[in-house]
Amino acid sequence: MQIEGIGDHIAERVPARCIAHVESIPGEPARFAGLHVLLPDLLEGWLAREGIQLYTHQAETIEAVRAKRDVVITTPTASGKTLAFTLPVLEILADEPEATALYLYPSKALANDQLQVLQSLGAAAGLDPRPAIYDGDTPAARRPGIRATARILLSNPYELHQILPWHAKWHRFLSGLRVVVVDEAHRYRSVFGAHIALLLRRLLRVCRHHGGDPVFVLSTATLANPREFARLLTGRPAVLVEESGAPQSPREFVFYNPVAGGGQSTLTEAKRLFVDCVGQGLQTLCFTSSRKAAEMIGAWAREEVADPSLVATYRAGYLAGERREIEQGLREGRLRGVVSTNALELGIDVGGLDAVVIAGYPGSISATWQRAGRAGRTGRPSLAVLVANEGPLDQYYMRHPDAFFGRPHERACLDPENPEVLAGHLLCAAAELPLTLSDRVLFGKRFDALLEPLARHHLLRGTPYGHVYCGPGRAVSAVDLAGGTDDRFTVVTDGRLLETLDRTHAYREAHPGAILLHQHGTYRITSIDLETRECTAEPAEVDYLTAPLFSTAIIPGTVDLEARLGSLIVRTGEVTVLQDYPAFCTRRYGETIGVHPLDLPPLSFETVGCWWTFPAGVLEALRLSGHDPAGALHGAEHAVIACLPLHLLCEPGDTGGFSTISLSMAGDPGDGCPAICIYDAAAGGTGIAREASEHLITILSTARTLVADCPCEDGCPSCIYSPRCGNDNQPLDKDGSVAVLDAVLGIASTP
Amino acid sequence: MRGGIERLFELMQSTLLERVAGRLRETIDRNREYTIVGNDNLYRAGFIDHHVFSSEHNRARALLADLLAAYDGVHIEEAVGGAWRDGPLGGSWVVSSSESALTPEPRPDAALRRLHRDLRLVHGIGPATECRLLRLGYAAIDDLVWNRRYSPAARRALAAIDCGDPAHVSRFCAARRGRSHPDVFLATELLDEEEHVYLDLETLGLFSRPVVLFGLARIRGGLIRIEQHLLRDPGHERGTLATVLDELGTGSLLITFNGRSFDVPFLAERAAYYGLGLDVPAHHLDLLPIARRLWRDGLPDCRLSTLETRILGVTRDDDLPSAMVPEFYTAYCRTGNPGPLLPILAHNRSDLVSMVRLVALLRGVCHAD
Repeated sequence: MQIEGIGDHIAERVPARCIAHVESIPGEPARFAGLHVLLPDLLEGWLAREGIQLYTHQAETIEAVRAKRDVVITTPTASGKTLAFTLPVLEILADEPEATALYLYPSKALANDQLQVLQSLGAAAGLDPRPAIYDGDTPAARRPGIRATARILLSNPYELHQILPWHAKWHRFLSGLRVVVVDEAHRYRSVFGAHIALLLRRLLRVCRHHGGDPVFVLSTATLANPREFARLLTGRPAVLVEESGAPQSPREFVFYNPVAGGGQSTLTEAKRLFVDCVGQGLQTLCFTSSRKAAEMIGAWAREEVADPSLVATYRAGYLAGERREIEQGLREGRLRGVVSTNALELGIDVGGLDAVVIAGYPGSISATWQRAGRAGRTGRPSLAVLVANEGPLDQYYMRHPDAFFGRPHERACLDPENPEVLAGHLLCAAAELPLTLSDRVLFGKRFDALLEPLARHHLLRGTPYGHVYCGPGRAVSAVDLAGGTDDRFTVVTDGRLLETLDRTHAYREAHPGAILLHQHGTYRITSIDLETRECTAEPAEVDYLTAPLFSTAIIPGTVDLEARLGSLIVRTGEVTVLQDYPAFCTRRYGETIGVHPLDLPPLSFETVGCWWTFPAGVLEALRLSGHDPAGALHGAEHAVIACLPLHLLCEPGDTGGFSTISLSMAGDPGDGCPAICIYDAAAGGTGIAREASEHLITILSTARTLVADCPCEDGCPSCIYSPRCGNDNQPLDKDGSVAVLDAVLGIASTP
Repeated sequence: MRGGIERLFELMQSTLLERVAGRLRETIDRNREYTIVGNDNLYRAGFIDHHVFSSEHNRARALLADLLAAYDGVHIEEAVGGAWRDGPLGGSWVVSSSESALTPEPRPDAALRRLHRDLRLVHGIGPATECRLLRLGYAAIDDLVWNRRYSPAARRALAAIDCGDPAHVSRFCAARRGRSHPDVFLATELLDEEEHVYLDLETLGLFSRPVVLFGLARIRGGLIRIEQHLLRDPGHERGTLATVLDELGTGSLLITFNGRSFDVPFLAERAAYYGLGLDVPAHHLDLLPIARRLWRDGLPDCRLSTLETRILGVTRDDDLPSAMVPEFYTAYCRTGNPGPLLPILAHNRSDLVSMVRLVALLRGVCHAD
């Protein structure tokens, strides 16, 4: 069937009011470019045999690496990025017999997929780069051989963290290291990003010690700030390659909003569209955001399609063999429809599909495009449908599709100076080689300030040849790249370990009386011991759930940055977050049925926040016009936090909020004034609050639009209700929130 | 009140990094590299590489507290003794002592005779062939020189055994018979005992941290002469390491217990850390594989302390489990109180003495049929 005009076609079969938008994206022809100097004969010969001409962005990447400059490539999925950075790597390996390259992937699975690509590329070009994976699964017996011979090493950050202390054994590899490829770099953001940024600095430092001097090639999804992001991640400027020369097939992107149609759930509608597409003969992939949703849609769809064997479900957790079979079924066209989690999102080759249905906004524009990009790979026209759920991000884009299709505006942020992260990596670095003043350039302005306290705690020792690590444990064990903490609570039932939680989650989900849902059943927590960090649970059959009530207080610390936007003062700096958990409530079907007191000491952590105060007169005006000032501030705070992921690459839970009608901050001009604060929910800071402070006006405007455009009466989950609110979403005043945001924007625009 | 809060803010701000460092120290202190095995459960201990029984752990913690009380305000030189020794990069602090050896002398001639009688040192001879040849009356490699089939290989084996370089003989035996074979031990008997250096390191952990004590022992005139190079300050590691490497020299025989996996790679890593070249003796006898081969079946494990009790019949009183050395040394660093150093020195000394005794015992075992 014809795919062009499928938007109209769908429109005929579904309620018209559900179609929020149809974007027709025209196709683009390929753009090719030559190199100033040809590649080595082996590679040129291979390209000629395969009939491959270099796209413009591939040529740009090759020239940049040849010029020994760092590169950040942001071209779309399937534009030939792997070839773009592997060709110059192979060129270097062919020219210099001692040269090596490191490819870092965020996961083992991705490295496994790429190993085959690199093996066949190297072999086809008549080179033997001996690519090898070195990760937690590599058998001990194979490790010395890989260290001795591999010229392209595929690994992940977790493994690199373990490798660096053994750098003396890696002398051959490190001294020859010429290129470090960081694939899927956009995943390295927030606290994880800070860890990776410091890990890369440690790599560079050790490499230089052994005589290596690599360039970094970062491959990322489309970002609003790729250069800045690359600089944060590697500490060095990078050449940006963003214009793709790869051909683009025409496609239609439909925004489908079941909420506007009333009643139907996102999953039901996604299933309906999926079955419809498969029924029309379109090979279709349906993406869901959870494993459970994938299983549900898969099961429903199999009941409705003519031949259930043509439809499969795909997710992490399936056996490798099963997954390979599904991938092959898709490539060969045997399978007509697959429902998948994001497990299929990454580089796994399944060939070109006709249609993609995305059940629920995946959380970022780039992730959405990555999924949509699964359709139309072979140059045929294709279709993508985004089925919205009721969340604020989904509903915002349904009402403002131009914000989705316009210029990229998601910024990736991370803070390599997060002291909690930096301190740990300084210890690791000092355990690798003595830390000297020349390392200050790598580790930033907090380097000097941290050495002294670390020495005072006897973790470092100053010597004439640098600071030496002298702690009693392994430095790398004190640093968990995944951001985990060793302050973990165990939940035990009948002597059996049920699960482990960090302190915050234990407070929220494993306090006495809490109902804990676990995959093997439902449990009631009977006790929590803060000393031994053990919670005990008993099996329970109950028809209610529990949610903690907590209040947050912020104690602002040193202000790093004070910006004046018109008459609005925005401060960014250290804050101490205190969270008190006085009670929890029991809920049945979303309705609160009881409140029970808790006896837990408050939690506190130090992080980075951004807060702005405004004259008390604003609240007075609200009160006079019949609004509830506290509810208005609270709603505005929720809206600001809800719309952060529209501008910054982050998850809604990465940021916490606090609002008060009277900030207590002695000696501050804003003392006693109403204030809204957003803070990074991870100790030491994620970079989000800092970044938000620089784009505050835009964020506040979006928040205002989000609330004002929502058709609900008194606030709903699409605008100011937050599922993470510690006050049970009380009080909230929707119109008041708009008024507060208007007032703040007004102040910001008055000189 | 206001002023108080202001001061509080100042305090919080001035010490943010201080608190970060403190939290990190707590994390590192919590991350022990050993497991405490409750109820001294021998069965469980068998599954855990680095374990300390809870009774040992409690005893050691109590010992630490006692020492800190007893040595409060005592100067380190008064507590541990020792003297400064110059070395190529600044020198080291050396605590010397000695102990009577009572060990039998090496018997190079007997050792050589035994090596000559091991037909399997000849390339191509396995257990079955060895049996057959012995039945045929070939009692020594020398006899095989006249055997048409094995003559070339036998000549090569004899050339290796009789080359006069014990290090080479040792490597040859290890290559032919495996590192745990008594022949490897016998080869070390060819070297004058004055050339033996026993080495045992005490470190802040399993890898990539400072060595805090380099224990060396030599046999001189029937005495075990022990020299312990102690880091009075973790910053002295580079100078101490250089001094120790210089003293080890390259011509002697290095004797360790588990040194192949631990002490020697550890020295190599520390040398690389400071950018020093590593010249350790090429001739290295690791007692662990030999002991393991001999006694593995009768013992729960082959730790040196187990061998002491079960094979050498020695018991240590209040010994510090080696896994707890980092805690004790760190306590010294943090308090400046020299008390916790004493059990480290004593533990290291006992290890060195036990190695010497183990060698004496192996002399008997490996020479016997």
